[in-house]
Amino acid sequence: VLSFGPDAEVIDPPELRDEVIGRLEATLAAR
Amino acid sequence: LPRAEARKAPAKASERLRRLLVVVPYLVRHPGTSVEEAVELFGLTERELLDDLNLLFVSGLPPYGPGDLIDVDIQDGRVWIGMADYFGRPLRLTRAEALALYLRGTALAGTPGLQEAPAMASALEKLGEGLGPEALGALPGRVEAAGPGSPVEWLDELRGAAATHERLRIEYHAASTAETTTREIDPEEVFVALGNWYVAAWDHRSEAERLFRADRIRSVEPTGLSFEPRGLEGAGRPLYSPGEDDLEVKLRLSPEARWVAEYYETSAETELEGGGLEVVMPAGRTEWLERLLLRLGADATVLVPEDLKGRVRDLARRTRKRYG
Repeated sequence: VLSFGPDAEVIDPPELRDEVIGRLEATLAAR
Repeated sequence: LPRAEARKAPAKASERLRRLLVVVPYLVRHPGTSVEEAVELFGLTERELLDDLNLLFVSGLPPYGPGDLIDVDIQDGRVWIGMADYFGRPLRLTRAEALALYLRGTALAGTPGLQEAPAMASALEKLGEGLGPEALGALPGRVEAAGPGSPVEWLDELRGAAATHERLRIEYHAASTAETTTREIDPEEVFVALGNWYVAAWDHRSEAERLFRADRIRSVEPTGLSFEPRGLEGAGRPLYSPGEDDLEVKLRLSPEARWVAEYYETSAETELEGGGLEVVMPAGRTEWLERLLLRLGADATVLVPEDLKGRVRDLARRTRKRYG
């Protein structure tokens, strides 16, 4: 999903949505 | 040399030998085959076939006496080959050849959309049975092609146009720019690599050779025009064609991201302590790389160029916004 960048958003399931948000925040914190 | 001229260069000796090894056994087993039929069957021009047969005429086994040379007789457009019984012997594969054939065949049979897949599966079964457990070991049943790639809606049309040299108009979605464009292409080779179908074609939009992922072709329309093949490379070619304006991107990959070096073209790789890898990747455009880096997250660090880091951060920020 992340390889689609802002062109895709996970709606369901919530666990996957949270995982994607978590990874994006980790990337923003690290770089 | 311009490509059109390069193509007229004489065929490589290895290609010619490969061709002879297929054509000659057939002609030995089918005496009196017409030149027309052989040309059609093996996809040759009449000139190529006659040149090959002329070469054969002076070939043979030591001591090369008249009785040791292959005898080629062409009469009324039909071909007879004598003194070449050794070509009539059934082909015997070595263990390494059988293994290679079995593995390549299994990969091909598992490719999505291949019409010939059932025939290939049956041939593989026969290969396995014919060679027996001794030659192939316990391989049958233990080797399967990796998960099928994306299905290709237009595969038959693409393969047909490549075979008959017909120009096509296509709609193509480029993953590197996330854009869909319409372009006319001369498809020369349709082949499988890494589980996906590719089309090596001359692209009239960019007036250059381009490689298209067949599953990203959204529509195909015949133009009614034909083209003269330029001899573009198909199977076995690198999937990335380097350009003069390519950037050199240096990444540090964690052990979890080592697959990147296997999947994408790299120009240098350095092993790191702990199982990581430092790689240099040539890249024409960086949009796809930014998305790859977003996906890799903390498993990849951009070392060079500096501004790529900023672009990945920006992409992460824009993506994060979607989630409120």
